[in-house]
Amino acid sequence: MKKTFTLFIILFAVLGNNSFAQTFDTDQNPNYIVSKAKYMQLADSINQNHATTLQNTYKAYDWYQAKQERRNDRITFRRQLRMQRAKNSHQYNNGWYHNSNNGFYLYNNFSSPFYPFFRWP
Amino acid sequence: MKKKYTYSLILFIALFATACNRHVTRIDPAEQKDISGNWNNTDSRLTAEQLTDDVLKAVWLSNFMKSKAGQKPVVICGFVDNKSHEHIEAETFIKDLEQAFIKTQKVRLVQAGKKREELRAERADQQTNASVSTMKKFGLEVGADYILQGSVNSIVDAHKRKKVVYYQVNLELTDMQTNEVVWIGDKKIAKYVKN
Repeated sequence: MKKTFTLFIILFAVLGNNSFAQTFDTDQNPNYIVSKAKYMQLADSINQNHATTLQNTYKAYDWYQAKQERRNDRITFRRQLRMQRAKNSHQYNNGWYHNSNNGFYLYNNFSSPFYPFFRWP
Repeated sequence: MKKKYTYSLILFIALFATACNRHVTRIDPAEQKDISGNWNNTDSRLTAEQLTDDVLKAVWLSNFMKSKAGQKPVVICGFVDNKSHEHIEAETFIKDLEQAFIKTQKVRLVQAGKKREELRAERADQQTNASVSTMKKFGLEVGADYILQGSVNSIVDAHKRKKVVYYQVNLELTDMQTNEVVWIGDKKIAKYVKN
């Protein structure tokens, strides 16, 4: 009785296994299991983006567009400079012509667009 | 004199009011309207028309039906890689292509991506909430024979106010079992833009 039961279990296991497993083709690479295991892990993350467009765009050089961008940058920079000057107006009015540091009408830190935050020590 | 002045004021107000209004008019989607020179609906439509015509007339279809005793191939849509310089949504022409597959009944189509995930989630919900007679089973989906993949490329040649933009849209069908590419279709569009 016990032997019959064991045989039945083995038969069931073999039949069950065969019905669910992928049938092996004669020309199939015997190492297909390695690849299958790898891609079974990746399938969900890759497949969820199917039927979509992957946007791998690049920025093409366009002379006219570049000119417009340079113009916009210049406008933004000048606006920011004006804002900073307005914010720190008391510093700019102080010693514009009578600065002990230069004494001449030379290019100085107060009028330089590169040092708009200059604070006199 | 006063009357004349009033009339001119009314005319001025009327002109000012109409000039500031935004005008929107419906146009035929098949009408060609190029505004900026970028990729637009006309490009998408032309791409869809050519690729649909190509894919349904190509030999891969008859070859498959011959080898499978008249069965129709099952296609799934994969990625379309936009490698151009503009944001291009490929779904606008891919959907036209898929629609042609279904309308002509020459190719069967299976759902992919997030829509497929949604279907499986709904099926999972049915396992606990639907009646046994109406509940749909897992593991009975149709496996695709071919996958449709594509790419969009562009070349920009610009100097001063003149520009030539070239787009190349490629779609290809690959055998899911053997990785063999059975069809490649393309649509080439070149535009001359003067700012």
